[in-house]
Amino acid sequence: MLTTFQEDDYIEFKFSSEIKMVNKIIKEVRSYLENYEIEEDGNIILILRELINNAIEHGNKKEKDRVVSVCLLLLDDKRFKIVVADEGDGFDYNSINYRMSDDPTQIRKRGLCLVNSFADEIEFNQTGNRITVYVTANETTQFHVEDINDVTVVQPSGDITSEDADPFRYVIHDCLEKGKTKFRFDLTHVNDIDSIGLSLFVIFSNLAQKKFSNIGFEIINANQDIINLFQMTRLNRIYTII
Amino acid sequence: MQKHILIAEDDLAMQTSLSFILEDEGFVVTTVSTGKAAFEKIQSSFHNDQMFDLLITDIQMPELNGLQLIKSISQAGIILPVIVITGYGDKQTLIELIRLGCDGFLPKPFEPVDVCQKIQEVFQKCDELKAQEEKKFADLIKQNIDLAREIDSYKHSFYALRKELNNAIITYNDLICLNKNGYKVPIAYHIQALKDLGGDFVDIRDTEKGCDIIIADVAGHDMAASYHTVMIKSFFDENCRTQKTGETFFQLLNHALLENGKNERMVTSLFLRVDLDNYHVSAVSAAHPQMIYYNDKDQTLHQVNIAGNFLGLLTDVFFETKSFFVHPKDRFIFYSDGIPNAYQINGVSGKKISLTSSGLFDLLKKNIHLPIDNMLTSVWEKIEKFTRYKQTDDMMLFALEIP
Repeated sequence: MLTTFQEDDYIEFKFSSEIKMVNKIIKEVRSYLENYEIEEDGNIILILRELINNAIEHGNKKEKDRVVSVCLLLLDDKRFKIVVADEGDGFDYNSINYRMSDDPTQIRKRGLCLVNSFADEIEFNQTGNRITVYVTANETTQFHVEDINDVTVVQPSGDITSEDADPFRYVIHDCLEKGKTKFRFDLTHVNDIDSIGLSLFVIFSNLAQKKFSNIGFEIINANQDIINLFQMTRLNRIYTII
Repeated sequence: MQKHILIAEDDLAMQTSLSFILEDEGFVVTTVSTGKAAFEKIQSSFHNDQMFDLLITDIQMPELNGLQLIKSISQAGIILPVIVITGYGDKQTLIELIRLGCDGFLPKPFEPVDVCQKIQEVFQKCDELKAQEEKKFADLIKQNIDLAREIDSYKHSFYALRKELNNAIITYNDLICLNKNGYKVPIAYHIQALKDLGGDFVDIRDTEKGCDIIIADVAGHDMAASYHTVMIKSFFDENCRTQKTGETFFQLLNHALLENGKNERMVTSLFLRVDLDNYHVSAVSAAHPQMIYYNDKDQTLHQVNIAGNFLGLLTDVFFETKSFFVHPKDRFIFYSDGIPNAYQINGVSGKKISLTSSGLFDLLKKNIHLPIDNMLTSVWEKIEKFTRYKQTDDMMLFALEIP
């Protein structure tokens, strides 16, 4: 048995407690997520799979006529609220140990631990047979480059961390190859720069200064944390913060 | 082997003459008079693995006509060459037959020689197709073998590499591993690395008058990062022996990291020298998160701000030295940027909330009355809980107490 209800940014499934339903629901959710152009739905799918498995196996004890309900609500851009409920007796969710085990063979037994590590936040109802999970879909940072008069403006679409190092490196090398000398980094969308990201700013300025003498770097729209970071590392001597 | 041909034809005269012609040519012939009978024969021969080599069928037949018969065969997933006997003015049927992939047509009326020629054509076409298929299959098998061999060799190198890496990880961890006890000053610490390699580094060495301590954070989590760490460690060891000042040590270390590192890495670090003879401490920082000093007499905590560049990327660097006198029971707390940057995300709003250094400061304030070990464990547990047990960076917290 499977019933589906869909409205605007909300989708709900109610289905019988059969293991074969897991893949069926996952398939439905995948095609639903396509509407939101989510390039990497790994987090959401992984979380759902664990939760549905748990609901069927542990919650409803595989009793076919007990119903599992799953709903997904889009909160804002790429963020979802997922609620999974079963008709079981619930469990003592306060006793869960969320610490990730170092032993990889233990992972199967630690489904909720995995869910926790991929979710932003999780909540249970009092009985422990309904879980609410808030999750953000994975997203990699894009680097938008635009020439305004004689200044090359680089605008990252998100944080600059080790994961985004390669595209960032590629973009700045490309700019230097093209002989650009005036750079402005618009950090409007950047909340966080890690040490690898910061290293790239240093490597970039070193490279550029070796190549051209009249080089100029500016940072605009940076938040206070990032300004502090540039000041603490004295990068503000190289990058003018506006 | 003799080829077996099935003739489906309701006109008995035509059926008889066709079978004479074909038997004369040395074929084995089976005849049926309806489409339905033909389909049943084909099905049973298919299941008995004694498939006909060819079907010659009329269009107009009772119980399943020629067209329906051909459709049924293809729907059943049976491959069988078909020659259709066509009459005058069956243009529409002809088009339909071509669409169905019929192999040949025999327009009525025909001579024996026409029949034999058509059959030879169809068999030749089939043989060619079969040869092509066989070649394709043989090529695929060969490709398959090559791929399997390639995978085997990848697997082999992967296992070799994995083993090498595991050894590197073990050696690295042995190299940077720190004993909890046995130094002139009591210490407590907790390090949680995000990955197997790289990460935060802390080391302590007893010196004649007290001890030297280093904290370092190399950017990245790969083997290259761990080489940098090993280099920092060996420079630290050497410096403990030569007892150069912290400032000189960092200048030398920066130079060495730049000289040897084609692979530029940003390193932040803190160096602390404890002189227990004079109860004097001096500290140097390379853009590392600022340490916290606990004055036991006033029961106050202070962030110690020390100016300095990071290591490993710039040639022209400077480091300030901060010195002060301390008393027994005073404490120093160091941490890596993973601690103030530790965060949780509010599920409803999606807002990221970081612990920040002031958050850490508050946690320390609440637990400073505990013995150093318990203080550290308690603060660590609260940080873990704050992050909801999700680790996003290396985290290190280290404390020492003046004896």
